[in-house]
Amino acid sequence: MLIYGLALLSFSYLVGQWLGELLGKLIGINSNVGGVGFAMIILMLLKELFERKGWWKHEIISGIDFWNKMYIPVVIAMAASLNVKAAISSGNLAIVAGIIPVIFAFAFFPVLMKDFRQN
Amino acid sequence: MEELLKVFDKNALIVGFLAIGLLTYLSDLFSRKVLNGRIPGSAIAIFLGLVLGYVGGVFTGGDKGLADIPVFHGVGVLGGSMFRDFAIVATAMGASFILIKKSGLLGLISLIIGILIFFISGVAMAWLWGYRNAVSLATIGAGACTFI
Repeated sequence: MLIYGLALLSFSYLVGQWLGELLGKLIGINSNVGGVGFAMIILMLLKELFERKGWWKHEIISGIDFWNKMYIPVVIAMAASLNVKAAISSGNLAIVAGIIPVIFAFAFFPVLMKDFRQN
Repeated sequence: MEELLKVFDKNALIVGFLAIGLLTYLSDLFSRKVLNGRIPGSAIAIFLGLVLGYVGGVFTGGDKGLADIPVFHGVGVLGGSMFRDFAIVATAMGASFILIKKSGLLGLISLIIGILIFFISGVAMAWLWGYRNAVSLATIGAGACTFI
């Protein structure tokens, strides 16, 4: 059943967010710390468990896969609802902070790959 | 017209699905016909999304981009933190511990260095632009990390 996959995803999401809130409270920050990361780890663990038990079937997968594939559309919607005007009108830092790190990464990673192949 | 607006108003999230679908379709078309697929349609769609976010901000004076225009309220719901985090968690489905082990040391090193490069250079840019307090520096550094 499709809803099983969706429910599994929802379970991982809620437990992860809960842990994030608890961790946030524990270290004295009044916000969610690592909730999404915890949720991802829980989902991966559950997937391992389900695979071992032979429960990881097409129907379950497609319930999660829908949201997996919705990631890019959600990011597009997020981009459209960001405060772009404030980012641009408060100077060019937003643009520079987007471009310069990418240039660094493009410069660095080929070197890393080459080093690794030689070893 | 009034009736249509009423339907849009009542079903904001559904309007958001339609709007993002159309935007993605147009971007895909542009990518294939004009750019011969050199830049993926989804990248163009995200860029167009940012442009629309800017336009929305200019028209309404609000801080939620296109979502401040009442008809497009649902775009803000779809792009809000709930759906965003839910979709991100779903992407973990494609990951598996076997593949993570396979990517091994190189994978781990590139992950860590990638995050460090984005964070440190983001903070450095903020420093150069005259920000000095820890909260602003960390926000801009982490922002560079997540968005890139």
